[in-house]
Amino acid sequence: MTNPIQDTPESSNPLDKLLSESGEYIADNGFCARVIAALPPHRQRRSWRAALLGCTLILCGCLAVRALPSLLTTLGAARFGLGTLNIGFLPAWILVIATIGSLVWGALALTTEQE
Amino acid sequence: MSFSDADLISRVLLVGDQNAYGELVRRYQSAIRGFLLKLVRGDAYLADDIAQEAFVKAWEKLDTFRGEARFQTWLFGIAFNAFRQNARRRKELSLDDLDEPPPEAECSDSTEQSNLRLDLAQAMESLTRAERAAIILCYHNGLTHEEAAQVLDVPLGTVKTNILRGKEKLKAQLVL
Repeated sequence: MTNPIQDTPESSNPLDKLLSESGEYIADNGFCARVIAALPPHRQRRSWRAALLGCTLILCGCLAVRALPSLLTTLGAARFGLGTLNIGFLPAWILVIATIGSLVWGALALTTEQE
Repeated sequence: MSFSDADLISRVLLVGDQNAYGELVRRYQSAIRGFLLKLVRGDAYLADDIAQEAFVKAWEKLDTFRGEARFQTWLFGIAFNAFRQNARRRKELSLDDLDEPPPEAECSDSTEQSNLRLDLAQAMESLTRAERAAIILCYHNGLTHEEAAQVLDVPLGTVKTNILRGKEKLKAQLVL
C-alpha cells in the first residue's frame, strides 16, 4: 500500500497528470512593460550610498573634532612665527579635508537624488 | 546567451538594472499571473493588478532575497501575500479564513452529478482557497510540498492535508 501523502506529485495517477498539464502559458501582452514602467527608483543603491556617506561623515567628523585642538595650536604657532606647520599633523589635516569632502559629496548626492 | 536568475538578481542589486529585472518578470509572469488568476476565480484584470503589485514589491524587497529558496518560491510568497492583502482590502477574506470554503463550495455528491465530467477549472472552484493554492503551486508550478508551505506560510502537514482533501474533492467531481 502506498502512502497517499507524498512529497512530490506523481504522474502515474490520471488526476495528478491532468492537474500537472492544466497550467497553460499566459502570454505577456505588455504585462512586463507595465511592471517596468511602475518600478520605483532603485532604493538599494541609494540607501547603500546614504549609509556609506553617513558612516564616513561620522567617522571623519569625530576624528577631526578630536584632532582640532592640536591643529589650532599649530596654526596659532605658525601665525605668530613660532614655527612652521609640522608634518606630524598631516593625518589630522587629511581628516579635516575628508570631512569637508564628505559634506560636499553629501550635498552633491542629495542634489542628484532630487533630480 | 541565457543568464541565470542569480546573475540577473546580482545585476539588479548592483546597478539597479531594469532590463535584468524585466527578464526575471518575463520568466515568471506566466506562473505568477496563472496562480493569481486561479485564486481570484478567473478575474484577469484583478489577477494582473495583484501580479503587478507583487512584482513591484519584489523589486523593492529584492535585497532581502537571500537565495536560501528558489527565486520562484520567494516570488510566489510575495504574490500570495499581495493576494491576501488585496482580498482583505476588498473584504473578501478575513485575517484567518483561508481554510473556509468559498460560498458556493460544496463537494457534490448527488448521483446526477457524480457521473458528470466537469471541467477541471470548474471543479477547482469547489475547493477552498487554501486547497486550491496548494494544488496550483505543487501541480501547475512544480513546487515541492515544503516550498508550497513556505509560500503559503503554513506548516508542511497543512499543505499535505489540503492537497489530499482537494484531490479527493476533485476526484469526486471528475470522471477520469
